[in-house]
Amino acid sequence: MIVVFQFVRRFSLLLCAMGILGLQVSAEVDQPELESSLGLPIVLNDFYIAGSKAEPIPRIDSESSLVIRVLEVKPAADGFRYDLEIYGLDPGSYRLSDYFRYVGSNESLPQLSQQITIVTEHDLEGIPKPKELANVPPENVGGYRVLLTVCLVIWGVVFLLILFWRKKKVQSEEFLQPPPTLHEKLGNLVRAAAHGDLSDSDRSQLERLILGHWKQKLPEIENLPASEALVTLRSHPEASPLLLKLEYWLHAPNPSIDQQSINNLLDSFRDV
Amino acid sequence: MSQLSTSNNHLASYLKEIRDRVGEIVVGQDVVVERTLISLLTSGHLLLEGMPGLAKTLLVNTISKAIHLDFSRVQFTIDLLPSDIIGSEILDEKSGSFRTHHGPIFTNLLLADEINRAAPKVQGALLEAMQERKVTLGNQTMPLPTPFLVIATQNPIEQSGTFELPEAQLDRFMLCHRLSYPEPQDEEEILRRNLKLGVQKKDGGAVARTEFDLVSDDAVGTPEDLVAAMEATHDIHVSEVFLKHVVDIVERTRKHPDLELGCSPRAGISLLKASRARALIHGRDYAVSEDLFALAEDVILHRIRLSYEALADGKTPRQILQQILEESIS
Repeated sequence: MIVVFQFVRRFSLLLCAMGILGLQVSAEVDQPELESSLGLPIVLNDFYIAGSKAEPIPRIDSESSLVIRVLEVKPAADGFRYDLEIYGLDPGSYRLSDYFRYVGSNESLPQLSQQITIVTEHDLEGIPKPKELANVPPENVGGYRVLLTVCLVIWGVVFLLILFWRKKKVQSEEFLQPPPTLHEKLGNLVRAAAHGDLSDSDRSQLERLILGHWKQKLPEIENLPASEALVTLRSHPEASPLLLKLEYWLHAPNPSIDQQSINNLLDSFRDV
Repeated sequence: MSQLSTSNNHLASYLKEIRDRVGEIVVGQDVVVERTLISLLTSGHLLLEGMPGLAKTLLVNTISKAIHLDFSRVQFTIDLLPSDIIGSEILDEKSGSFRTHHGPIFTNLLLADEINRAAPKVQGALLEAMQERKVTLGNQTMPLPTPFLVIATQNPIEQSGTFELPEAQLDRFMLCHRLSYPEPQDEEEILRRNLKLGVQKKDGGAVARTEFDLVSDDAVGTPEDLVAAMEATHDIHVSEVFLKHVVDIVERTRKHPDLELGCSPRAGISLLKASRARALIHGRDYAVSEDLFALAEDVILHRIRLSYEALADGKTPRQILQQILEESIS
């Protein structure tokens, strides 16, 4: 009985040891092959590596096809568990053992059997797709020359209106009511003077119109400025006597001149 | 027709004698002499615009000596200060009190040469004194001598580095006369006279004589004659018709479409006063329309401002004024 009990005990221990060993071997050998698309990450959680602490072999050139980032390192029995993030840069199948080493050693870890396969295809689900470009002709393009021509025509019309509209209006008003000529105005004032009913304003205008009359009449002073023409008139043999009398009548204090003399003075302008 | 009273006859002779005396020294500037006398008789101020070398200083110097008036000349520059003209209060170290130093403005005839070269504050100080005929130094207000006349000059072409007088200050000048070059015969006379100047020996040395050496210190008439002439100017008759002429021309400047700024009432007053003085100078007891037309340019031209459109059309104030005068007699 005791012998049987010991046999069963030893056999069960042997089975347990074989089970543990088998599990450990399966963890190192029978790991499934992982596949990912080029450039997209693969995350490995709790990846067990027996022995001392391991680290990815530093990527010192562009020849290395995998980029491995260690996210977290957790101690485990006879080894460590690692959370890894792996990016594939070239398509192909790679053994993870070629990319790990123990800290302080340059040797890779041949016992790691994990395969990483990088493919160029990728699952389109969940990845934003570029918008399909539709061959739609753009709107409101062109017609610039037409627009420019229209603007030019409008500008020209407005410009011509500004130039001629006001002038035509003024000209038409002038045409309807032509202003009285110098001699018409002078004749009216001379006739009023004959009746002795000239105001100061009328007498002022009468004097200026007589000056204007002489300026028009004498060609030698026609183009002279008014001030120079007056100086010439005051010494002119024909105009001077009349102008001096006129000045005396209009400007002298208390002029001794009667209505008859005024009529005689202005007589020559009555029918100009 | 224009019979002068005996006293006015005497004054007309007196004024003619002054013009003749100035004419002995300055050739071909009769109109400027007349305008200066008009300013003097009416207590207005005169602005002369002209090129350098037209005997402006000599003219004013000669007139001041002919009338026996004090004369000062100030050359306006950018760094001139108001105190350089009106004077200042100076601390007397001996007495420990302030002593008033009178500036060159305390004179009868002040020639402000190139007034537009001075800074506006200096122009303002002078123009204020011209208007009020008194000066304040410290706490003291002192009247300026009588008569007091400012004859300012400015060069119309060399405008860089100048401060153009604004319209409000130009309005203070009763007349603005534009000097022109002398006629060829006058130019010849100037040269002939210059040839005869010769050399002046003095203190064992010699120096070339100038026209200034010919100016006689003997005055024509007496200060009382000048006062009488000023009083007579105010007695010159101005008819209602003449007033209408003045108002008509002033009104036309205000309504002219090419003018942005027409004549102020002061322009009308100046026209009236200047016409009176001109009538006296020409031996008349009353002003006539010739006085008005002769003085219109000097009284009005510096008081009007052309509109932008007129300037763009290339018009000038002189053209516009001539147009106004022509329209008034047509």
